Amino acid sequence: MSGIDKHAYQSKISGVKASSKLLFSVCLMLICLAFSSNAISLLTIAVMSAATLFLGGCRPSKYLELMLVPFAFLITGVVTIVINKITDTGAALFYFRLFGSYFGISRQSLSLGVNLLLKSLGAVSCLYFFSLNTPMNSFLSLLRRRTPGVFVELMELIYRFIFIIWDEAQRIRTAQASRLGYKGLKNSMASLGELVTTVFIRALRRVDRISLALDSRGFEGNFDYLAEKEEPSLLLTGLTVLAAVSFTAIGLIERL
Amino acid sequence: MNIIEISDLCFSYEDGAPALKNVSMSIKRGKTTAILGGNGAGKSTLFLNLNGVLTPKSGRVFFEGKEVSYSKSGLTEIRRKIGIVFQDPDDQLFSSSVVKDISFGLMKLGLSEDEIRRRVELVVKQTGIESIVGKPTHALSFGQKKRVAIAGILVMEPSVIILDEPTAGLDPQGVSEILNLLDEIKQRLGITVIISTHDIDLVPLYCDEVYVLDGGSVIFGGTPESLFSRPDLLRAHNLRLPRITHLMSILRSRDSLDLDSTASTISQARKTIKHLFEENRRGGAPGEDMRKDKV
Repeated sequence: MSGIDKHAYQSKISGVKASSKLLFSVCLMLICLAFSSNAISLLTIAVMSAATLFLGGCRPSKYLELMLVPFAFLITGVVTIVINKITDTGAALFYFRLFGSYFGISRQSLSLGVNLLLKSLGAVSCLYFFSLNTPMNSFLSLLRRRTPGVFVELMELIYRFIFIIWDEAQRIRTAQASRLGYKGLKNSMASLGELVTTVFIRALRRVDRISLALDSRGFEGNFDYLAEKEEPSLLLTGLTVLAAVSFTAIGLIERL
Repeated sequence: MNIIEISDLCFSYEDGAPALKNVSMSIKRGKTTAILGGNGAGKSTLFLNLNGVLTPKSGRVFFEGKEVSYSKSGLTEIRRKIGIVFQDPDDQLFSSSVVKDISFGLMKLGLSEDEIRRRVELVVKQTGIESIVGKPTHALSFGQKKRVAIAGILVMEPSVIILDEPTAGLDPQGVSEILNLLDEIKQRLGITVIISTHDIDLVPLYCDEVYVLDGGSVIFGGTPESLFSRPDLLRAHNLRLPRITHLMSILRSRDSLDLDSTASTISQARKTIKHLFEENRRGGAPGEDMRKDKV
């Protein structure tokens, strides 16, 4: 078990209804995107981070680390928006000459960049709240109620077998590496090819064994099973309403 | 008395090579039966025939006195009554949620949700997996997965539970935990247990009956004691005596100690050794007198 998956299962609110968590994050994300205001974005980041850290119990250092992942992409994206070709060098905050034209940062482009950065981080914090606090199993149960069964069944099986096949690949890699399979580029390429082939063949064989096991358990073509019990959270519902109403109010006042 | 009766069962895979040849067995109700045999002896094939996943080419299987029908409704019934726990739990556990996986078979029985929940909770307690039900399957250890796999079968309330190599891949602690769990299932719920194994040493401890399979044929059927009194047969089919029986028979044949050479468990061995010492004490002088030729 690794990464975000692990955090979701360890979250203090992992047992809370997935639907209320989804509502909370999607609601605030839409408000954040709709108003596109720096204040609302900052508020969203603050509320979502607080919810993830205090309600979910995520370690702050881990949360920061995860937030930095999209940050790297955001910065490169924002830089290209902030720095533009400049015609009026007088209005520019900063400029330089390149290939006979002027490039630099203007007041407008800077505010656009900051706005974009905050808005994106706001949306990311909403998504992180959902994914760091909702175990895949609980998310799949939610999907099951709304989407065609076959899609969710596929997702469920894929989710299960990612880990099985990943483990298998890992073991093969270790076995290869212990016999110097990854010494030098040429060896590495050959070993990787072998690994992919072997994993594929093993996966096919496993399919046979799994279908035997399913048959013997009375499989008749559909994966029905009991959904896990989830508790509703008044706190989260209250928070959703409170945040949605106050954010909307602040956004509207700001526009006036 | 016999819950499963197999007569002259034959089966061959698509390549034509016979995997089971005229297999006849009687499985006693409420007992643990071990199926011994090397790799490729036909143990797993036999199990899949019993639960209707594979259809015998010829021969008949009787379950609770009635002949098993391989029709659709017959199969549903037999698969519910005879559950198989596979060797690799990752082949059997298809869901990433423990509860979902356990409830899988139950959903087909037309039970109410409350009843299903009740049965799942009960079986979780019986198999001692309360602490891991909230975890995703991929975060469990091998032994824990094995327990979940057993729970998924047990929840169907079968009459017979078949375990293919239940102890393979487990540490010694895990082995005794699983076997004690099976003993409990047998005693408390009256479920008949069939296990296949290479581990001869656990047979005298946990099994009441034993069959030896080799090359798809039944070589031996009877109690563990009667099997262990025939070391030549065991050796001829790539099996061996339990370590303790082996030691006892060497002490008897080479050192001429008057020990019970069929003793196959620690407690039996202890008993016969103590007995020898007491006999000896009563007889007088120590040492040489323990030899059976002088007693």
